[in-house]
Amino acid sequence: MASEASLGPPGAAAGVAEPGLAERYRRSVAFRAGIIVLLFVLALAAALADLAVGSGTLSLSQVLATILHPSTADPTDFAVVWQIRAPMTAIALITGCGLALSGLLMQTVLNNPLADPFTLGVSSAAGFGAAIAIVFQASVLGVLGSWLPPELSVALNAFVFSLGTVLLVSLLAARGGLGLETVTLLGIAVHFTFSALLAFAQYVADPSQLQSLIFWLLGSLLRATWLKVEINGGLLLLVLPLVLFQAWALTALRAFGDQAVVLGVRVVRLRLLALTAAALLAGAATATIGVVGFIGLVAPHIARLMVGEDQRFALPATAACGALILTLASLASKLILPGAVLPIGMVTALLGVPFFLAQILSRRGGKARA
Amino acid sequence: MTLEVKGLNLRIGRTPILEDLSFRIAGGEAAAVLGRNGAGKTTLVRGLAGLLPARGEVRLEGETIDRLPAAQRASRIGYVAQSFVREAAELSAHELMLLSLNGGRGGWQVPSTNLARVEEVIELLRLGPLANRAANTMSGGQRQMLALALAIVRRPRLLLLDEPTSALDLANQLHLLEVVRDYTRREGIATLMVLHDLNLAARYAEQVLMLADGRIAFDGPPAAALTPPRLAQIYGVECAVTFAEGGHTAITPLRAL
Repeated sequence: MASEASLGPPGAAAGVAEPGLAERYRRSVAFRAGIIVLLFVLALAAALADLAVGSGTLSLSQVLATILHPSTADPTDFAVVWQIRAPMTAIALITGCGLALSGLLMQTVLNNPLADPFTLGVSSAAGFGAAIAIVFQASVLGVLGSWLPPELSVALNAFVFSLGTVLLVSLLAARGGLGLETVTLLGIAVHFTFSALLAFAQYVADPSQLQSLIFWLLGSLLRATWLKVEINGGLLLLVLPLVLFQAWALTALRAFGDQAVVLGVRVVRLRLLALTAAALLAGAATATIGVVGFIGLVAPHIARLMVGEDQRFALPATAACGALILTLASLASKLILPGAVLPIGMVTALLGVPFFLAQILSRRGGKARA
Repeated sequence: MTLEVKGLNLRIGRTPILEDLSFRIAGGEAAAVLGRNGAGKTTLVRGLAGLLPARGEVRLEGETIDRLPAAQRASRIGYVAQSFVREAAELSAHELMLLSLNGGRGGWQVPSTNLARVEEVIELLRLGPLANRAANTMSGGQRQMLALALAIVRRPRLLLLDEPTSALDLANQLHLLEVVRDYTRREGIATLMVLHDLNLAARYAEQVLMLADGRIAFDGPPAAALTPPRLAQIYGVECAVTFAEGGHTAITPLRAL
């Protein structure tokens, strides 16, 4: 009972824990909000550093001057910062958010800490979608696709395949009342099916097709354009408020599973909404930068370790973590081999795994949060 | 808050579990649901809670609740089951209680009245020491007490409990059922609880519903329900029924028939 007494403020005669609990809660909210702000500030700082690093020799102050006063900037600096680096950095921030949120939503909805765009087969489906455009010059739009520039055709195929995969898996889950394990297994089945088809496409591709396919699969920010920034950013702005508004319901789903119905949560509809949002975000990100794994899996874990399971905090923290990780990866991809930009998909894992392991191993004695 | 159930049919998948159930629980009273394993006790509670599709009519204080939108229906019902809080849930008891109050709604805010309500229930159930513990560090019994707190914090008008004492020690069994009884009487709500312990049913229920083969085999006061012939009929067990100190019925199982 000593612990009971310690919950209350010293000297509170009658009340057991009353003032202490409410105050504790307010402090914990402020603490978590602070972490989220810090993560976003770090992501922005990383973005600024990312803008300053590249094959040219621009100093940070030149970059800042070009960003703040584009009209008076040197034309070369302007082109380097605004036409080449800024779209890449913006895409890193936005798709980092999108991939991370997509992973968190999948983990929450499927109650599976290992779920991410890979486990539901999204990434391999996107890869195969890209492959049929690159290798077979086929588009999901059919004949109309021949009007599209090849690069957009690849992106559109990847997007449609990844979206279709998640919708298929979630509709099957929602309709048939399938267990969550079954849904995860279904995702794995989809993953291996598309991996096999992808391998087939690689097998029959000619050397130049194979090279572009491999390059696409490795993931790269070099394909960033302002149009893609607008599409991905618009999608994020559309999906994020919808998902954030469901934060309580998502937390209830995480804590109570199907039984969240007794709180008034419309579980089937929420699952469908969250999985569709996850598919849109992952599909758009994969279509833009290629297959970049790891972020959807790790960013939610890191965010939850920092702010806990409450989705009101876990969602924005995950988005910030994703943006931070992908931007740092972009930075590292330019620094590891001077003069070369490594594929981002390779770097995310190399950079993220040690940090992830450190987070997990330093977590002792459950969560003793303030 | 009288509960009236008429012609309730429940099935799991395509298998009918309960057929044409009709009963009534008066406001301020608790009914114990008894019966052998597989009699449909849990199905009844889950059906009333909205976790299973049901046919029939469920009225609470004259209002047909089974046709209400999910959120409105949920706001009237408190549901307690041992497995309610997932073992892996890393939220603290305090966070879970706020979630129970807000979970069905959109938005972000936690009104200060909700914070006050949570503290009130924490005190009522003496959960102070558990308030900041994560649910995944709690024992099964502690999670069961927490499940009751999660239901009561919502000010339900119908309280549904599925074996609420199965993981509790002796003292906490009495504590939980006393809280339920006091709350039921004070708020004038209807309470339905599935129990396996006949002595607890005799002590804490005003009404006993005995289920057998998907139907109600008996509906009446405990003294009439818990008789040796009826217990033999329902459970196939010979029991001795005596009266303990304080006028409580005490049931001792003697042998299986």
